[in-house]
Amino acid sequence: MATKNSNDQVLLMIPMRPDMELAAAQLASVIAESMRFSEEQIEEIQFTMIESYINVIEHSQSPDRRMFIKNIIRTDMLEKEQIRIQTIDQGGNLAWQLQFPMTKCS
Amino acid sequence: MATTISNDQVLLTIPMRPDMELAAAQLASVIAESMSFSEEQIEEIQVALIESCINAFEHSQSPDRQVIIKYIMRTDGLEFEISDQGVGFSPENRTQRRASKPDLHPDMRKRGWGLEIIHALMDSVDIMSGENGTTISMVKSKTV
Repeated sequence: MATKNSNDQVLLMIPMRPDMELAAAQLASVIAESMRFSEEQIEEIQFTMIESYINVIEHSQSPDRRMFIKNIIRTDMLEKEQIRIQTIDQGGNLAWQLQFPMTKCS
Repeated sequence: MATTISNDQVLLTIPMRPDMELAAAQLASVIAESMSFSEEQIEEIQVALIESCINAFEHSQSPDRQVIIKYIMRTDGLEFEISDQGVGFSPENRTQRRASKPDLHPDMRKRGWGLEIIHALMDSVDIMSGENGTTISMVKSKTV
């Protein structure tokens, strides 16, 4: 799934603050909806986004809470087949990589 | 990962593609809600942000086809910086052009009011534009 250019990526950098996981989930939801993911799939994407965010917060061990999460949502709109979400901490380490294949509607 | 943000900022980069303005607006909505903005204010923020993004999509001619939006959570309100790396424009010239053509065809009136709408909905709007791109800074203040 090589991304040819940045024109199919959405990049989000969010701080560790209350409700920011909801903001990230809502953003992913709108993108998934525009790609015609099913309602059930969108819920799964939202849930996974929230869980990955919380996991990074819980395990980042950042003493000053000034580490940030960068989500790269590769929408691959040309193929319209999948969403890939990468959660990266401020140090540039890949914490999570999640891939959601799209179910084709018959 | 050279870009950093402070603890009161969210940074979003979107491609100039259909529906991406809605994604930016939805993100603003959740942030504004977490800051206890009213429902009406949240709607105004969403419309202003959508207009800003569409302006960049349609007019910037940005070679990278990206818009960067910074959401700044202030104690007194929510600030947005919408930036593109396009050809820029002169806000003053645009205002003069608008004033000199009051009798537009009705169909024409439906388009091209983005900046006026943004000014009407937000509490302060500042536009910096040049040959390296445009940044619209706008603030929605919290009302007590």
